Amino acid sequence: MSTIDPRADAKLQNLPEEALQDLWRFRHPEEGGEKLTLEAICVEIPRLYGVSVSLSTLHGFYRWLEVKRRLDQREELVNQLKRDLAKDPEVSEAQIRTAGQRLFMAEGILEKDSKVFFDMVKIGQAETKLRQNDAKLGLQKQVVKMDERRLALIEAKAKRLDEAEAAIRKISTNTELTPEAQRAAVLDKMDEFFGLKKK
Amino acid sequence: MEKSSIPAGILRIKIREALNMAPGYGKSEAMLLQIVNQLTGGGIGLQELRDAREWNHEQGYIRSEEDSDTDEILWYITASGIAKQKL
Repeated sequence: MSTIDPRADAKLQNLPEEALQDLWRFRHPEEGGEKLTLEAICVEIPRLYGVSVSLSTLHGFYRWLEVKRRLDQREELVNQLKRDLAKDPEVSEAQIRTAGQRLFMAEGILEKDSKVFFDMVKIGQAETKLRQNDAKLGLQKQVVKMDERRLALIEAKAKRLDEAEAAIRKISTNTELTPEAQRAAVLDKMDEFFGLKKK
Repeated sequence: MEKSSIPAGILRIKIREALNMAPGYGKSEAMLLQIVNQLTGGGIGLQELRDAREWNHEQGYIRSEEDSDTDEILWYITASGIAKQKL
């Protein structure tokens, strides 16, 4: 069975967090510490971690480590603010998640200022409320329109009824017609009123 | 725009490296381009990035999600992408 030997940079990147911190300190020592050259670290790594690396791999690794540390710090900061915000019962999980994502991407406002984060969520809440109000208003407008349509239908029906009644009264009082002819004319008018008249 | 001197294979790895950092948070295209340029030392153009990203997407190493509020596409590494980064 063949196994794939991981790339040297993958081996370095997947070292435990503690080892990554040590490697960072080699290049960024605390005050008074000695900064090691890449060549020196290249010699130390096989001894410390059992991984052989080239100078160019190590160079790329330190670029990666710098960006990773920055993003890790940002992630931790956002996670902390999310945990603080989760204590507010008025803020939903979805709102926290959305605001967290926005803050993660907003590099400029990543000072440790939870007020910005809270404001973002509150603005989001206000926007949601406005959207809900808009939707409610839209629904109310629809109801009013439906009521107007219903009223128009009732009025039209009443008008037709009045017209039919007047027509039937006119037929009933027409002395020129025989009772049979009156009855036939009334039935004809009723068919017309109910829409049953054959064309 | 001229292509950078970074081989396509390396660029594909850098895309996964970028998305594997703070993997719980999505990265926009602009953010991804910025990180990948920091990882490679710069010079990566948008089209090169998109080609490498598309390859990772087709392989299932990364996935995208649309932010419905901003209409922005956010990119994430998948479990198989994380596994690939260990090799």
